[in-house]
Amino acid sequence: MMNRRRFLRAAAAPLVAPAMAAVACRSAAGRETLADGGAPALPSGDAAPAQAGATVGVARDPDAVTSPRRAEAVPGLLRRALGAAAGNDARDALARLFRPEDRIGIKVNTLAGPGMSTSVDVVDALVAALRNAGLGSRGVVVFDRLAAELADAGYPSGAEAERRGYRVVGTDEVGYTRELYFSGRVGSLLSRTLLDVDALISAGVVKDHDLSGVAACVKNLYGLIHNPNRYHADNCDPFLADLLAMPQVRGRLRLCVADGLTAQWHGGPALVRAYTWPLGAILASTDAVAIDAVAADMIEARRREKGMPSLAEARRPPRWLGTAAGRGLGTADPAAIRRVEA
Amino acid sequence: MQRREFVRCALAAGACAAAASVTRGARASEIAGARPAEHFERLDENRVRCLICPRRCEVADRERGTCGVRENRGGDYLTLAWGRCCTEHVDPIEKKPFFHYRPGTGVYSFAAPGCNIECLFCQNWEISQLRPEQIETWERTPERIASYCADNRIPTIAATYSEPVVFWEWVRDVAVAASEKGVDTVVVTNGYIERKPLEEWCKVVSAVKVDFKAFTQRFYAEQCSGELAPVLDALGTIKDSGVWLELVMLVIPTLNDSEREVRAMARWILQRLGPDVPVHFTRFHPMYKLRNIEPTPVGTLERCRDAATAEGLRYVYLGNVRRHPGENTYCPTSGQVLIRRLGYTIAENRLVDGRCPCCDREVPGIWRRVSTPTAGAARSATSGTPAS
Repeated sequence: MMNRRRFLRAAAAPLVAPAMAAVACRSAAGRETLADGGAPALPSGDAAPAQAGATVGVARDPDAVTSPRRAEAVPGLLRRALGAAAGNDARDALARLFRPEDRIGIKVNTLAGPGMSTSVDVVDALVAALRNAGLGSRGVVVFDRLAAELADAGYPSGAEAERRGYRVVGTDEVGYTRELYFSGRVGSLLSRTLLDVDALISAGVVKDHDLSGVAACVKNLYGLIHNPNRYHADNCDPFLADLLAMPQVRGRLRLCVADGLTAQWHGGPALVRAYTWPLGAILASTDAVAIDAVAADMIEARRREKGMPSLAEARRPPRWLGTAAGRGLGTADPAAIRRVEA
Repeated sequence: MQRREFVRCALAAGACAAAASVTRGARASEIAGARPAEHFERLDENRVRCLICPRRCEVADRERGTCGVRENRGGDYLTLAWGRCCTEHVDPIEKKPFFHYRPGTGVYSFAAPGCNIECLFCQNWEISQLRPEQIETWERTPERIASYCADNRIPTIAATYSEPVVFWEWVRDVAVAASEKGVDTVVVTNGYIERKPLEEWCKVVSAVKVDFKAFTQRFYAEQCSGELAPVLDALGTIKDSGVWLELVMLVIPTLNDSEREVRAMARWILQRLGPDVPVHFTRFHPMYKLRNIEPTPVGTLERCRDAATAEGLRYVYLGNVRRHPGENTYCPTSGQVLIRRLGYTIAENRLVDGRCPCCDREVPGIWRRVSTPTAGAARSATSGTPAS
């Protein structure tokens, strides 16, 4: 119920939101991106310039898919992906993306439960790489919408998580902002965890999605807002681009990592084992649009191999990629994306 | 609601207000929560199509419909809203608003989170636009609600505040349980509901108030992410069922306040629903995502009322305007004030057995308790005869 106090608070929100956005943008100032080193940090809003020649690092190792070599293989695979994306080694790449004092949030995707969530092995390796680069001393938090889904996907909690160098938080535990944040047609409350961190890593999964076509790193961002169900129409277009452009998101998003150890070409977002395949890959990029475009390309290729209709023919063309690229939020044109296999 | 009205409302509720602090049960996190949803069909590959509202969401496994409270889990469609109360209060029935339904009585009002549309001007967006796990909820079984109302002599229960369509099963079950205890149930809804679930509702509820957003598809599409035509169908269905119906239109300057639109709406109401359906034109205040428009001038509301009255509607009211004569009920024949209202308070009720004391004209409405335990027996009330 709206009482007087809430009304006043709500009325003040439009005044507060821009101020907070400005703070968020300032917090990101001075950082470099992997793709264009030396340029300002990922700018916010629709005014961001297109990132010509975006690079996506793709590291593959079929042995990384299954145990017992998996835990051993994943860290190397991740380092190769980061290095391929940056053109140098992973440690340098991370050091150029993050400040030592940054509080870092890793947004994972655990909606589908064990088997099609961002794997714990990948996150463990990512946190270890950050620590190895002298980063995350003020905290690394691994988060998603629901604590129960994080636990279901195998994420540790409490002391065990701390031992691995991070905290695990469900937004249902810490809540959402009371103020609405707007970007294009999106107007949402944001996970408090997002606003509590200085830098964000989107760590999604390479999989098909019945609405957006592909769910890797940008669709993963829907887990930052309280009302993703409002933005499923028209294959999530332009809503995914709107959310990616939101200053509170764009100002923090430094790195995207897509877990493609086991990928899914059909039936997403839920796990359907019959439609998974052992891709054995980890993808990395600072360009959220480019990494998802590459993931979409992998899914389309697999669908062709299997004699399945294309995503467009299946009524879920990832049009939003083009919308996002058109706004300068990243690169969607495969010809303009440098895919570096490692 | 303004502060003063809030206080007045609380006082008016009197003893009922104390009842607002119904002992809270278990927190949401302790509730099993999900229950099988009704009104859906299974599709291939574990997908389902929701048939509760005209949106007819196709929902993939592990996904939810637009409402955010109905989820597909492995091809089974579940409601996450059943019994998950996020707000409850004993209000005056005038607050809903129902002006021709048992004036001056209290109504236990409850809601679960969620809505199937998104009005940019929603006054209760903090519950209607959130998912059940995003706000505090507590368990309320139909039996507990019904017993509470019966024990405390609260004659009516209202599913309200958010959008009852998305917690359809809970509303239905509450209405059935309440009926067995001699308590009636009313629904406050946007009317964006499929015919079949609406018809099932109409068998167990006593009255429905529909928030009629506007009379143009453009408004529904741009301001509410909804559609006009299904709402018109729903209004007709309610009317045909015999359930008591009242309409509210929130008048928003420049968006739905043209005299042409109001007259067109009034003509449609007159033709399809008849002249006796009460229509409330209420005042808009900037809210949620629509903050760039000033509150509706009282003069605009008065013009809306005049236009609707000129088209032939007999009971047209103003809302969210303090101490305005447009809050009162007048006899269409004698012109006498029959019910004088001060906000949510009944200052005077001159109706005698639902009739004007001056000319004996019958005024349609439900003026006394609806017969129970079978709420459906009250259907004759639409013709103006109290059911008991």
